[in-house]
Amino acid sequence: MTLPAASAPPRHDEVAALGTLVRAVVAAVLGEGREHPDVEDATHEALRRAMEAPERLAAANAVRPFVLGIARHVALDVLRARQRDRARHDLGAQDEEESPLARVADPGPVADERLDSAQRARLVARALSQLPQGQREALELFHGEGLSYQEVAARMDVPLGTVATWVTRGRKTLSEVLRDA
Amino acid sequence: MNETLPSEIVWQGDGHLSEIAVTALADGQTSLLAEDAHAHLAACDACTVRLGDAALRSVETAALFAEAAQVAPSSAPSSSRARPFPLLPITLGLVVAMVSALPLLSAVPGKLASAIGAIPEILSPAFARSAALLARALAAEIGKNAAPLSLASLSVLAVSVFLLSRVVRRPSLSSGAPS
Repeated sequence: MTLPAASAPPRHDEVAALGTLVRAVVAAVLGEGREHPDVEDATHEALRRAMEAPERLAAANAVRPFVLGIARHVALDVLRARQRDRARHDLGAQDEEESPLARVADPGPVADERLDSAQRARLVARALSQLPQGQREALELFHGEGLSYQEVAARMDVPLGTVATWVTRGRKTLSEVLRDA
Repeated sequence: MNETLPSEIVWQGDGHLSEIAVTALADGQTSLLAEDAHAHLAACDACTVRLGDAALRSVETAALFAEAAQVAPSSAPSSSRARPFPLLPITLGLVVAMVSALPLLSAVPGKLASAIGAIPEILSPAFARSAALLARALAAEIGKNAAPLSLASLSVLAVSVFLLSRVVRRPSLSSGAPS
């Protein structure tokens, strides 16, 4: 009797397909090119962590935000390590906790993360209400109902390029409004 | 259907991918871009960094929508939530009232007939006296006291309406007190 061949868990393929996006996120956070060694290392590390957390991966509603979240954390860890090294180099024997760079290296929550859920929900609702109707509907269908661009275009009866434009502009405006809030 | 985005919105004038194309890729809509766009991305550091920023923004926006969707139903004020019509309690109450009134209902037809028959006997003398009094009073008062009488009548009417409205409204206010 032969044992069945070991197969990769079902979501590993999805994780592997996100390699380009993971690399892009790491490069964006680190501010380096795709071929930089730190980008390379952090990309592999993020993919490895995602694949070695099968319970969390299986529990995640969607693979993409889960994996990109890991990529962001890994890249931020690299950034912190870099800044700690720089602080040690610059300040010699000075206690790391007293270093202003060390304090900067630990990024605090961004403005919207400090708000509680209800406040954030109100902010999002207010920001959405400021968007033109097409942009608002496209974002709601894409993020709220999980439709693809093509499905949004069919639902709204507009060309695909219009949906892509609305999603891009709407999301940009939304980010700006929430950042200024 | 294998539709792709039109090339005029995929490329910028400087040869890099447009923000729209980068956003579509960040949103996982990879099939909407032609092969040359993917080839450019694989070789361009600038577009890769922009893709990373767009991907983080996409995930962040998705999280905001998910959170807003979770918070919205529970944060709605209780007074604005639709309350179901209390059909069952009202029906039960009516049934209980009818059952308890059944013994009395059997005697109703006879009592009703005698009561109707007694109306003229009771009312006619009183009505005649009242009508005569009213006519005399009106004849005497009209002209000199019409205004005060009208005012008094209106006052009595207003007070009655006010008291009646309070009595009628009280139960609904107590049951629908805001949380």
